[in-house]
Amino acid sequence: MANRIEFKGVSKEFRSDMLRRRKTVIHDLAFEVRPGETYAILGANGAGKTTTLKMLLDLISPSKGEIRIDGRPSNDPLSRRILGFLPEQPYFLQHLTGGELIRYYAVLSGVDRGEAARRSKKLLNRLGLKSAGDRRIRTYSKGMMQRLGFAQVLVAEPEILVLDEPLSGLDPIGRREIRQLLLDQKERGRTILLSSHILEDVERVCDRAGFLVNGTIKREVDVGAADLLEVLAEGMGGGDMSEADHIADTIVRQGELVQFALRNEEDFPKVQQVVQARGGRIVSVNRRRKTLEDLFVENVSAVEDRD
Amino acid sequence: MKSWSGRASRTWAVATHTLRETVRDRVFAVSLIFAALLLTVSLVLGPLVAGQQDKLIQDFGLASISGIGIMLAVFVGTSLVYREVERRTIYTLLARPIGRGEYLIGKYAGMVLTLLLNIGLMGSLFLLLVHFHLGAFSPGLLAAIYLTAWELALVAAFSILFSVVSSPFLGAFFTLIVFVMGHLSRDILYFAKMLPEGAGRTLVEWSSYLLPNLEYFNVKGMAVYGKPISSSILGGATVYGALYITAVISLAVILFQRKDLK
Repeated sequence: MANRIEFKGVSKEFRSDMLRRRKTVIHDLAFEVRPGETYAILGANGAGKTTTLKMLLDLISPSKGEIRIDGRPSNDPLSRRILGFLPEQPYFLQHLTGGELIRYYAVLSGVDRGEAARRSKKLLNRLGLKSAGDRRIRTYSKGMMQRLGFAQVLVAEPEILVLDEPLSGLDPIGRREIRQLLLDQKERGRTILLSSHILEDVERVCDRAGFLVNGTIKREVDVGAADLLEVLAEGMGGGDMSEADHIADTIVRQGELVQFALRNEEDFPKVQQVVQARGGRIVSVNRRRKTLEDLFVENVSAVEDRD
Repeated sequence: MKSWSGRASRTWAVATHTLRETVRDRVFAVSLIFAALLLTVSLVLGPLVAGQQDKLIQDFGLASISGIGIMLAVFVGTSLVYREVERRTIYTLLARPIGRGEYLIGKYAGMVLTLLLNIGLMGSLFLLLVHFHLGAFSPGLLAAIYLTAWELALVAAFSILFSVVSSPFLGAFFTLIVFVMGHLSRDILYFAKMLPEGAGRTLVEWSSYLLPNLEYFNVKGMAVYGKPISSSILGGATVYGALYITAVISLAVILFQRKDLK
């Protein structure tokens, strides 16, 4: 089956000021989201996460490159038939009630009016908005807005969910509810693309993640498959460790001790050779799971430091 | 066929929700109260003008319907799309399988429905007052109200166009300029003919051709003085209005499709 979402060589320039100077915010962006996969775009504020999602939805046109949803160009409105979108801090038409909004959006997605009313009722019940369904949206709290946001995403029963920071700004109970909802959708085989900087939640929900740095995916990781082998050695003398650069993921020196972090277990004999060649000895070998936070700091801050 | 019915259904859904939005907005209710007041004032002022009482009531009534309608078309029309972009409610809406053209035409249709509702209510009140006062009303008044509706629809098309490319304040300013110049387009052409040959004259001439001639829709004087309003005047203004609206809304759709919604 083809990829659900594909970005190929996408760039975006904005004219940034009165002098109409160009500023490139997305550079040659390429990634894909496979069917049934939950993919997270991770990045610091201003990295281009929201711009990427807006280009996918054709709210912003890319200056260069190609974006496809289920094989169709993303600027074809039909490509959005199978898609539901939740923006960061969702805003909805304040003059409507929650029920009216969900029915309106269902009709815009091609659902007939009778079915729209049935689905709206069911979803509002499921998301704990049963009694608020007849109230104007302007009276909703932030948590209720987020739940209403999910109701409008799910009302068209989309196969692809695009969620911009779905867990930000929620209290712990709200976060847990939304996380559970995401896991339910995942179990139903939905494809999910989300942006986030709450790494703990991404680790629990996502299959893969891409680190977006200065408008491009710097590295992609399989979430949960990022185990590391940490090798601690001593007595290797001073100087750099350039001969081990291509073997270890990171090399950290702490006085006499040198710590090698290996992504592949098969590289262990090579490290042994380096240590022996320098007259040192291995003190300990530990398996440690590399957290997304480690990877985030490694990938995102390294580039930011360089800038 | 199915795709056409789908487009029509989505556009109609946007239009009816726009009508709901404007009706729930206080501006609509306030405009109706204000219109009712103006019509009542015409009854009070009538006896003060000896011999011209009937004409004053009709003149004042038709002008009130037109004036209040223009205010609605300009100030509500210019904020409709802008407000959705500013408040970011447009994101979840356009993330549906709806084209930007369908959305914008739906918004415009909703604005026209609002104006028709407004003009329908004000017009009915006006005709009731005239009937109550004079014992009958001439069909010319109906024709005048009909053409006022077309004029308002055309002004609303400009307000939607300007709301796509500018802020509500600037949009309202530009739309009011089009409205005023539209009523002066014949005078502008006359003025152009008096200018010396050259780029300035050509520019003024072209602008008078490009601006809508809103005087085509103004038969209020004829209606008040009981002059017959021929079907060719009504038909000609209807075709002119429909073509002009199509051109303005098409331009608005093209510009809206190219707009980045940051």
